[in-house]
Amino acid sequence: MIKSQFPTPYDVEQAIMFRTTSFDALKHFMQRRGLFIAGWGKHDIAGFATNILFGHQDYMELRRIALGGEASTSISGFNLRHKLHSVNVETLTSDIVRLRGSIASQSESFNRRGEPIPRLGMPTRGDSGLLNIHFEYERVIPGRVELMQRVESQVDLVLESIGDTQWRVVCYPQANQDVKRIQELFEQMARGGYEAYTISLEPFSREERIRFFDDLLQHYSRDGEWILEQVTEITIRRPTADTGDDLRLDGEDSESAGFINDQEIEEVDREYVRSITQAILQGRNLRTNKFVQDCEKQGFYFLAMTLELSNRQTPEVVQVMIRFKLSPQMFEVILRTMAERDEKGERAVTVPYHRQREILRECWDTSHKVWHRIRDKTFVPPPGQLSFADEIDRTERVLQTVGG
Amino acid sequence: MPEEQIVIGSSWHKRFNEFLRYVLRWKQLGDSSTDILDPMREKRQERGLDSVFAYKRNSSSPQQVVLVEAKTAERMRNIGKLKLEEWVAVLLSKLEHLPLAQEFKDKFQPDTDAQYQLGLIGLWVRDIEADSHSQLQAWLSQVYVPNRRMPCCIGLVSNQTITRLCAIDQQVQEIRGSSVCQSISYHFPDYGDKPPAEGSSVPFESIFSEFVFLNARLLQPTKGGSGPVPYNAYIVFYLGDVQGYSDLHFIGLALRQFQMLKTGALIVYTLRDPIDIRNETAIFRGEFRLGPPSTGLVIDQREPGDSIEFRQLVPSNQLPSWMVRYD
Repeated sequence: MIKSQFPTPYDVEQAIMFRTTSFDALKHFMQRRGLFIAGWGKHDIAGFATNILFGHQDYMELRRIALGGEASTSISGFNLRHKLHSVNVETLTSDIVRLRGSIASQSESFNRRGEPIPRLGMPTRGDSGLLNIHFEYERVIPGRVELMQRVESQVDLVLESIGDTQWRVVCYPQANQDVKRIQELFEQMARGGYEAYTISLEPFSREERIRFFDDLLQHYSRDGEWILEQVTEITIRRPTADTGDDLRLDGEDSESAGFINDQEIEEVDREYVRSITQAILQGRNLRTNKFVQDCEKQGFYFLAMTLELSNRQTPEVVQVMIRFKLSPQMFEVILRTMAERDEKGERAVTVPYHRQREILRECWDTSHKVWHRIRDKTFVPPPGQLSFADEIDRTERVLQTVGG
Repeated sequence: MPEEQIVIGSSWHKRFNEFLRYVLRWKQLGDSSTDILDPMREKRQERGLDSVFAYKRNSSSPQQVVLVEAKTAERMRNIGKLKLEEWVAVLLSKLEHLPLAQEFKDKFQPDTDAQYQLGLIGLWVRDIEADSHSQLQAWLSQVYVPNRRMPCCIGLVSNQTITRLCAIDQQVQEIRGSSVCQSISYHFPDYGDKPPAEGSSVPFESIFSEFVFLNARLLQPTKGGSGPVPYNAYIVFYLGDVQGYSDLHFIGLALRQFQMLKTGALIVYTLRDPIDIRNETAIFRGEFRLGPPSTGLVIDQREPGDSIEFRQLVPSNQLPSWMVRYD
């Protein structure tokens, strides 16, 4: 909630101009309220938004957007492994319980900073050995922007084993920083015994980066519960220092650079996006597409893609954005829109929260499988250690056997 | 059928003009449904303008011109994202080109220093039972808006916003007509970088705001032979969701920010029934040190400036009768 002061025009302007505020999310925020601002960036939106007296929930949403969150449900997370040994569910549970104790013992240090003590819930064992945890904390962001100074956040986490050595921490965050915060917290477990990492395009060559999205699109045009209707949006980027295949992603750089003036490709030419849909639906691979070839030649690669998917069994139609975010570095899947389609047309619906999470989870798991498949082609595990993809395949085989 | 559509469209156009004229108190320039030669198009095609309205924030501020389009549909599902996208793109292009034409200046005679960066689409879905604001919002968020060097803004108001503003207008009229009201006028607190608005018309950005403020001079009847005692009151309409105490607390912060606490009696309209939020309003009074409104004829010990009364605003889903009377 907004506790101490009604947001001033300065607060709103600064929140909009934050580096973490997504231009797209901001446009959607304004457009849902019936305001279409044709300008050239966040500054023009701020010019109009600072004159409007929004409602409480609106300012909360704006704050969420400024913290890097989208105005919709999203899923993100990281993988966790112990530096020295494998970790079973009992060990992980007791490490988390000890972590709770360690947070409680730091109450004085939190009090000194004027920050309430974060609350990490007790892990509860769910189906198939999953661990569910609830985490609540208040972010204190010093500065002159009152709107952003104290932000409460609540995150649900699911921890699942992905092999003998790895645990995947799946978060349903309200802002990107939530994931970072949880990651830092978990890295403190067992006296720094754990390390966390997130999937990214960083280890991939230029071809492999395109292959990730190519394989993902091929999957949704062929298999599973959801089928690709179209690609609606693409974000591309050219790294600041292109040194061939070994590209380094710079978190400080604009993450949505495009061909012209750092704008996203969607705003440059929507025909390209349509041509990609067409290529995929015709069963061709992405790299045969002229636009993709041009991108590749000029050193651009895809950073995010929004897919419109329809369910094979139900009338559900969703748009999901699959994105490798650079700052903070994380992988996320965002549920942009939900609708139901029948013979009379399409209408927007709000499906129950648990269903939203199921949909996100499906895209998240598929993306991870695709990523690991590409990664493991080039990654040679040390003798005796299974690759991530092998571990996942093995786990699936075991589950299939158990399920009969 | 097309003829029927034209009649329905023209009828909504007329009603929307009434809404702008009487509810927002904007002034219409020139005639409705005027064709203007587009100076920027190669073949110099004529383009239709439904209406052109203007308002001034205060007597010395420049005239703000708003290009207006009235749109109507039988059902929400007849609209769709692409149609909305087309409406926005067309109005945007008119906004960029037409004010440059001499013909525009001749026909509408705007002030020489007039500003032209605003357009407004008034959408009315006639099947009010099938009207779905959340559906519309979902489509609106997906509309593609091209980039422009010179920023401009197209606003879209539909059934929900129009009927809410009409409901506020009706409440204001009722208060104005009551025996306890000496005077009442819109009050736009100084917020943002626009020049102060004095209250003779509702500025564009206020249509999209969740707060509407009014300043009133009311009369408190007294016992005995002495006449009623006048006192200042702020009347506040909050159109946002009130789900819990945090939303009421937020209203309190707004009142504090705009210096309306303890300077006049407060009447706050929300979309919630005060009975449903009586526990929250009790906490609110405690936190902001305000009492309930005084009842009866005798002014109690409390100053009127220390009181707050919560009321419910109940917008109809239809247009007010005065707007449809002459169709």
